[in-house]
Amino acid sequence: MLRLLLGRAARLVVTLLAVTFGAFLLINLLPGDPARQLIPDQYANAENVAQIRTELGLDRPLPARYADWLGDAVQGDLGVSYRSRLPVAEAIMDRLPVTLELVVLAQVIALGGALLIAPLAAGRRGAVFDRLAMVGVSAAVSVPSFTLAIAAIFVFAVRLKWLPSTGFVPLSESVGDNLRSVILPSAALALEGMAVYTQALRTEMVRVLGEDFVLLARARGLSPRYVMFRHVLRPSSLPLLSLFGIYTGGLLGGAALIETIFSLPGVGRLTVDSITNQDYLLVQGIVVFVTVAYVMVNFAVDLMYAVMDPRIRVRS
Amino acid sequence: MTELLPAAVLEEPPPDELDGGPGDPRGAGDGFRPGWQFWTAAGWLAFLVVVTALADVLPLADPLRPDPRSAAAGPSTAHWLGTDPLGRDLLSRIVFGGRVSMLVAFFSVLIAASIGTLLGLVAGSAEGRIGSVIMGVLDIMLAFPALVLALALTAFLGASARDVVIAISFVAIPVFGRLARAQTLTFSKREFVVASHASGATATRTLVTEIVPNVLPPILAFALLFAAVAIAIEGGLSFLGLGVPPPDPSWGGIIAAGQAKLDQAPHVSLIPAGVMFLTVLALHTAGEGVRSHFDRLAGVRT
Amino acid sequence: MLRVEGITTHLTTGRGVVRAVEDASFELEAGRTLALVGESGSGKTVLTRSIMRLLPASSVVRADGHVVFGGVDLMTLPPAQLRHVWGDRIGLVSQNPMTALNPVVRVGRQLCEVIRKDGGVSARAARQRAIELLTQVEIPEPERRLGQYPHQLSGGLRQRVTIAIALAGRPDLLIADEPTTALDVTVQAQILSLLGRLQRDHGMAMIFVSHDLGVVAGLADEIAVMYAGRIVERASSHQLFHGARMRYSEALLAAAPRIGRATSRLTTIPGRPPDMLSPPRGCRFHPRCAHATERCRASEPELVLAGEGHRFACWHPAGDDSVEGHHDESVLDEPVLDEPVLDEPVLDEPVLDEAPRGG
Repeated sequence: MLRLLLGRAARLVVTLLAVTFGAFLLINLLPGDPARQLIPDQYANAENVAQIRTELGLDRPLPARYADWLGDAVQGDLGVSYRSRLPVAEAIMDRLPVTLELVVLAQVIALGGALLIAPLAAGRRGAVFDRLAMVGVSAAVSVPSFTLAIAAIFVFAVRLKWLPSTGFVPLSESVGDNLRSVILPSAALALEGMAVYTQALRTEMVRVLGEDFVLLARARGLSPRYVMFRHVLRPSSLPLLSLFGIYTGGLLGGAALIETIFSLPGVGRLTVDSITNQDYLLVQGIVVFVTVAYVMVNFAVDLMYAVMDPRIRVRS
Repeated sequence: MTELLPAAVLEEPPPDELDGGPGDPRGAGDGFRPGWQFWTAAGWLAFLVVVTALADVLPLADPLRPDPRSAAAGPSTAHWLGTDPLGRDLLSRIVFGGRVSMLVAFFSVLIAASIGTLLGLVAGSAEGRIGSVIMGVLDIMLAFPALVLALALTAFLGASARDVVIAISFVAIPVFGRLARAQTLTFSKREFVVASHASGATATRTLVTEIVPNVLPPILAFALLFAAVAIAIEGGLSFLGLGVPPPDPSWGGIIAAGQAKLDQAPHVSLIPAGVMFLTVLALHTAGEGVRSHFDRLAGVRT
Repeated sequence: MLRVEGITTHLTTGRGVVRAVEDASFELEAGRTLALVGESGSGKTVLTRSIMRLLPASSVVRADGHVVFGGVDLMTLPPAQLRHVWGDRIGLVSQNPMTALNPVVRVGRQLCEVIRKDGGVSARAARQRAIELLTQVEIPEPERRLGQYPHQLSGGLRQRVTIAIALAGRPDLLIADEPTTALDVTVQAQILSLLGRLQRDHGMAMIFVSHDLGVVAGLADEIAVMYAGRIVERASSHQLFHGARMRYSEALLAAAPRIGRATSRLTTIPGRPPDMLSPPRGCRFHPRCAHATERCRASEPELVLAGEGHRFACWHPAGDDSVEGHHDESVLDEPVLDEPVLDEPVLDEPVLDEAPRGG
């Protein structure tokens, strides 16, 4: 078990290094002189450009630059944006809670929905509910989240006027208003996840329901409800775990769109704004941050897998 | 769609137990007999391709010309689908925007599928380090959240149709690569491949004559599925203003422009949104249909 | 104690309706063992599942008959009450110990959940009882086993666990569906003797399903031979081994390999088990029977009485005129499984498609 952990940890470190290096390289994609690109045009005189070049060490070889940058990054310093004058890390942290709330809520909705629908569908396989659910799921998987968001705004905010179409109210101000401001964006983000989770869960449950031990568990007099939950649902949930990790990545990306649509002050919106403002240092910092978070989440998922499936533990 | 793209590749295709799925070929012995969903989807896509291809020739209004008298107007005889907030004809903007989306999707998929499949084939059949190195690089590419990476690439590359294609291709290559490699590995173990080796064919020859024809169908099916994702990503990027730059029309751009007018002129956003949704759905349906067909042929239980 | 009358079960499969069981009947007293013997596909398992009403409703096209158990006809019970019969009055041990247990749940938990299913048993008491049960099935270090997962146990141990689970409710009837088929030969013998002992200790009735006559030889009081969904012969163990009448039973006996005896050839039953989607007309065994006549092709024989408690269905049974001695009396004298199989290569003889001698 320990060996498993060490192996995974080693892989994690390698991945993190590679990923951060890749993000670090992005700057080099810029056409022309990177130093020139990093500052607003009005300050782009030779003097400033030269100063930036030395500050960032742009004239030094790549590996050395990366090592320096990495050293700073690990300590939480992702540089200071020349455009906005804000430390990158601080800018991200300020907006993180909003995005976090969005992502967490979306996962909760997606999982909750799947756990509700899939057992009902799998248990009545082939019946009306199952067919309807599967058709719905197929359609839901295809809806681009921002399209859904626009449609949802139209229905719920414009026509029904139940919910606000834009704006964010922090939790500290009012829980009720906060929820009202995030429910639509979270739901828009969650639909696709719910569809995929439901599909996967149902497929797995149907498979498990066909297994011998399920029939035999019933033959021992255990109630169908107990068998469904204890013996079917729990083992069927395992595939959801890896999907959960992957979907988190999707949510982090989708948040950019959704936060823009709903004018939520989150990391996603920050990404889009910084791109529009050509604030490349900020973009780079966000990419690094988000990717590292994604890698860590998947690492945690990997570990959880080992914990939850005893067969993996023993096998390793 | 965008979010769970890698999942489609990393998971096994779910056994097609429930009949009535898209493109359901159930009941057929052999032969391609998909259901009505598949044909409807294919029909819509064909229609779209034809219309966008012929866009220059069709009697459409100039998509760039604003008509100041009717800004954000509803459908009328002059403008069948109405106008956008700047008074430009919505129908023609949707058609021309559709052309952009289709082209971007097509080329992204083509590039990603070609390069990815090649890499996957090599990784799956080559001995020694090469395979691991390739997969290592692909895995690192996959470690980035897809949309975030695409956003970052457009940020650093610039905003134009070409850059969007590059960004989407880059994100997609590792996905195709993994799929191709997995398929290659599976088929390398099959008897007919071993037989081909035993009859003295070189590794490359075996690869080309035996393995490739078997790897291509699933890649094709996945290409359709990914095309749906590509349309969605392109739409998203354009929506954010990071794709095709204005005043050129794009579905995402029109939707974005219409968002402010949702209360007075919802059609501006909703119509292109609907068209995009239908297109993505159609590509997804077609892709699933093709995939179930090939799964059946390969003997996966349906 | 158990009276099964006229069980007829038709199932729907992807390719049509299979008449898995036709008009099966038998009786069983407490403390006695009935062996249900037949080839795979003969309907043995479907019969046991029909008796327990365990078949999935979506597959069943027809399920007739009566199962009178302790005075109550199980076929008339509503599902809620059936649940109380399962586990508490009837215990089931099935063939494959690998798949019978949930792989991701610990053994102890699977045992305890059955012990506690009707409520009123504390966790501690359940654990005690679980250890008691594991001890009864002769599992060493029972406390340790409770915390283990099924894949950590050997096949034999897993099967003992499933037996323990089946016994948890102190059932009056134990149905053992090929419990030893998936196990090594040496373990087989242990499990068989365990089952015999448990049955005696608890005074249970037992239905033992097998395709191997040799396995049931020492264990069964009565034997019912099934072929193609029908019970073709029912007799006490002694009656069957010494005087099987129906030609299929006779062939089964002849086909059983016997160790410690030099045989020049192994006899097999020619042909293959019938396609249950469209079984042969008349006597279902006739295509493979050396004694078949036109009558056998034309009409299906009924069960007739041969002696006290001995019924068979055959138009040309053994034992009238053709006494050839292939139902060797020595079958019961020869130990079939006591010696390790490895000493005597049983199967290096060419296995020919040869009809049983005689007739």
